[in-house]
Amino acid sequence: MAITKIKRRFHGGIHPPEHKHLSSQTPVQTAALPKEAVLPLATGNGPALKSLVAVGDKVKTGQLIASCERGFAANLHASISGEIIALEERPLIHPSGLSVASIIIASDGQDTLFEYSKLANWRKASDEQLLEIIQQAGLVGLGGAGFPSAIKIQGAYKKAIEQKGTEVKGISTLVINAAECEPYITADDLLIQTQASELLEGIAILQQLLKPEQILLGIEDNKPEAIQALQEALKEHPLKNQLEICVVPTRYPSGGEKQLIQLLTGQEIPSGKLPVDIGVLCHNVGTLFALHSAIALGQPLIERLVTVTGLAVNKPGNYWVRLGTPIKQLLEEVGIKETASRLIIGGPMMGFTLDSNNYSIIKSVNCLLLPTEEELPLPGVEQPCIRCGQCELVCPAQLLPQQLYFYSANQAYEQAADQQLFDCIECGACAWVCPSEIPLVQYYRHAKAELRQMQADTQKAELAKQRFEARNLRLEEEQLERAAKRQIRAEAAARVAAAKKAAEEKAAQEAPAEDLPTESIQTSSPVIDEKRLKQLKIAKAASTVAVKKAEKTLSNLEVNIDATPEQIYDQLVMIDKAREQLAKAEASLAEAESLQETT
Amino acid sequence: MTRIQLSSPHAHGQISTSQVMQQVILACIPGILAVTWFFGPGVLVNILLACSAALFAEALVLKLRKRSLAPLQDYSALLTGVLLGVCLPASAPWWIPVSGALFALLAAKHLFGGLGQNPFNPAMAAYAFLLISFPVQMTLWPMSYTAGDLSWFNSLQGTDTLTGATALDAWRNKGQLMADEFWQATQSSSPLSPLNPAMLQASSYIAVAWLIGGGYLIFKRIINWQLPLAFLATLLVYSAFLWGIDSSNYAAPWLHFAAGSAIFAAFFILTDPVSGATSVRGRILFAIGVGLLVISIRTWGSYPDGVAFSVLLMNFAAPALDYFTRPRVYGHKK
Repeated sequence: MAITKIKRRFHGGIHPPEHKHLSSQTPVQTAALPKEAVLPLATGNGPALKSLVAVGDKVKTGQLIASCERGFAANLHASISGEIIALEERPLIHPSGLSVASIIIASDGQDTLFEYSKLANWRKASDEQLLEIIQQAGLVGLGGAGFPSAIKIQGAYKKAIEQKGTEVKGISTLVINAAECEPYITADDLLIQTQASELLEGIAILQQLLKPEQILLGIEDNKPEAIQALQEALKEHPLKNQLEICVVPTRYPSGGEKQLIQLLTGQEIPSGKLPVDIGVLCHNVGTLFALHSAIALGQPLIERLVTVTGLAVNKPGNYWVRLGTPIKQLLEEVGIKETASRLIIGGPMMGFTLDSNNYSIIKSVNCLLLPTEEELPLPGVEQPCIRCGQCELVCPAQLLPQQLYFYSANQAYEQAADQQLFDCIECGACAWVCPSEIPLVQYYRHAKAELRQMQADTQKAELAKQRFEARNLRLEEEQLERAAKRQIRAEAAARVAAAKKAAEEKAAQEAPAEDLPTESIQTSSPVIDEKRLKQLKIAKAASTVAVKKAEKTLSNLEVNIDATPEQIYDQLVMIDKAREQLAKAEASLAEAESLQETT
Repeated sequence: MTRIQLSSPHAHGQISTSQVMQQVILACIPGILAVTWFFGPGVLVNILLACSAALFAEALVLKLRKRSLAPLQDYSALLTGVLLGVCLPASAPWWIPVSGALFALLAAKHLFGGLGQNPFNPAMAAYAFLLISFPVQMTLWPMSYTAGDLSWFNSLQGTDTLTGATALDAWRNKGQLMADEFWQATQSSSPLSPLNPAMLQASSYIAVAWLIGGGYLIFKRIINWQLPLAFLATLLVYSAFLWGIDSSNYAAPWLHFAAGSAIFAAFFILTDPVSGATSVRGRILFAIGVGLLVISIRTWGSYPDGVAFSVLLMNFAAPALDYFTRPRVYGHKK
């Protein structure tokens, strides 16, 4: 199918300076193999992977070294051949800068490939085979989000199968995201220019799996070379009648998943839903290229295209970089000027800064941006909001950013949530236009974090309440049980005593001569019993006091807002112990009393 | 490399708050020149006095609140001074612009917390304050000169103590006269003529000058075009409706544009972002509301021009407008 110019619009958007020529003019290069690859077992979201190798193991390039049992995280493969030299915590590329357990491979310089059995012809492979390879290959969304692709594809596939033959089409539209709207980044652009036919094969694989009604590839009109390359490749390709190249006007954030789907299909994704829920699956071009490599060539995800750019870079451009390559090594290779003001991961609109070079490339890193101070000046002083409304005009989610700002800044988080704070995609358009230079996105992130914390706290409190009530119920039951036991014991004791008495009477009748010893027993035993009884009474009183005291401490703790759940729990355990003591004391006292009564 | 941790976005657009204010002040220049041309340099003196008093008041409050004096450079106080200064009669005594500017900054702006916090347009609040407190000084404009010697500059030799009523004032006081009779009376050169035609001529030229400034602001995207358009359209439709009912009693639509401050208000007063509604739809409703009130006050009220009161009344309504015009968020049903 031919090229379609999209006339549809999404609300708002901005035109920041693109700066794409910086990195798009040089041919794609391959970065040097790392001497040491650092591969983290967690990505900051989702579960951590389990290492399948131990220190000292030799691995080959592409060998599976970590996986997640339930498949909720993407597999990890050795990106170079060599020896595992450590399993330790290393800083992860993440806004928080946290350290996570990582596998460190020292390169042997050979880059020996681990041979996977290749599919002879994927077009003849079964769906299960394809899904299995996708699951094994460790693919994630390479556009920046890093969500495991296998989960996304399997979800869509399940839906397509379930609704096969029914009126509703499972997946009606496959959207390929090649918009790349962030300034500076050109990785997708160059990937299309150099690997257009492989990319089309990747699309064809998804087409075979999901059989969508239409395949729409969205690309901004500032990439004429890429569009040209796609057209050339499409001429000979079996997809030529199905794939529609949709050229969208250059406007940030047209590459946002929600915005691109709105541009191409006219549909909005309902709040809180996923594109799959309206029959749309959206994938980035980088991901589809990696999908092709995995299925057709048997190569798991071990390298990716990274844009290294900014005026402070000597050799800006796009580099094929092995995962785990230390940023330091990559920056040494491209050359960094003294004037670099900061290191941004991702683009200038949604990227985040890193505090040092001691990080290593992970799957979701699409750009390293090293601007000079003049290029991207540090933010100015925040001024009061003058309610100019520019932010509202540019918001692609049609929110009222200044209202959200007022509520967030004044800690009225519930009101911010009421204004649909969670529909904010944090694209930064509002902060970009704000004449008062208010860091709006920062306020929204903070408010979202606070709201999530509040939600978690409420859940925790609810759970604690349930636990507490269940515990009270259990204690009550136990007490009743104990009381019943006590009664049974008392009855048994009474029976024994009665039997004893009867026996004694019988004995007395039988042997009246033995009066004296019996008397001595009768006189001596009450003395002992009384002493013992006194002891038991004292013990019981002490236990009662202990229980009361513990209960009082607990009620104090419960009204104290600073008390941790652990403290409360400890106190509950103490009360429990004290009650047990009391019960014991009561039981032995009752026993003694009943004994005394009987004697 | 500095290792500051910064939140995205790392890029920022070019325009800043002080630039917005500067642009608005810049756009005032054609209007100020026109007013000066017709009514003499008194208006420049007014602007100067109002601006000085405004800056002084701003500095004073910032000092009292122990804040940095940086907001003095954001041009917002200066803009308030300019907008107030051009509204005042050119022959007003010196304490009119001074007390007006002090009221605008102290009572209308800083009592509510300074820039961005004021619920009312400071310039209009000050104007209303002056109009109520000093009605005589506020309604007497120096006489503009006849078409022959149109401007004040051509008649430097003449006295400038002559004062005259503005066109809207004259119309409001026409009493029992029918429209035809009124316009006939204005043509006579007798001293009993209700309105000197030069007055009307002057205010039409001044309106054109404000229109030029407003066009510049729209071109520069400092203000939205929807708001002035909605306001002026409301004026036109509503006044035409009344005029259609009784053309001998109600003013013709053109009079509402040519006389009074409608054009000036459309581009420079209604577009004040702080005290208006925020959403686009809210702003349009705001402008329509002001338009309806302006014509109503001019027609039935006791003041010849109702812009200041209309704007203040709609300032009250702005939060409600914002509440009822919340846009539909992406992915939500209405």
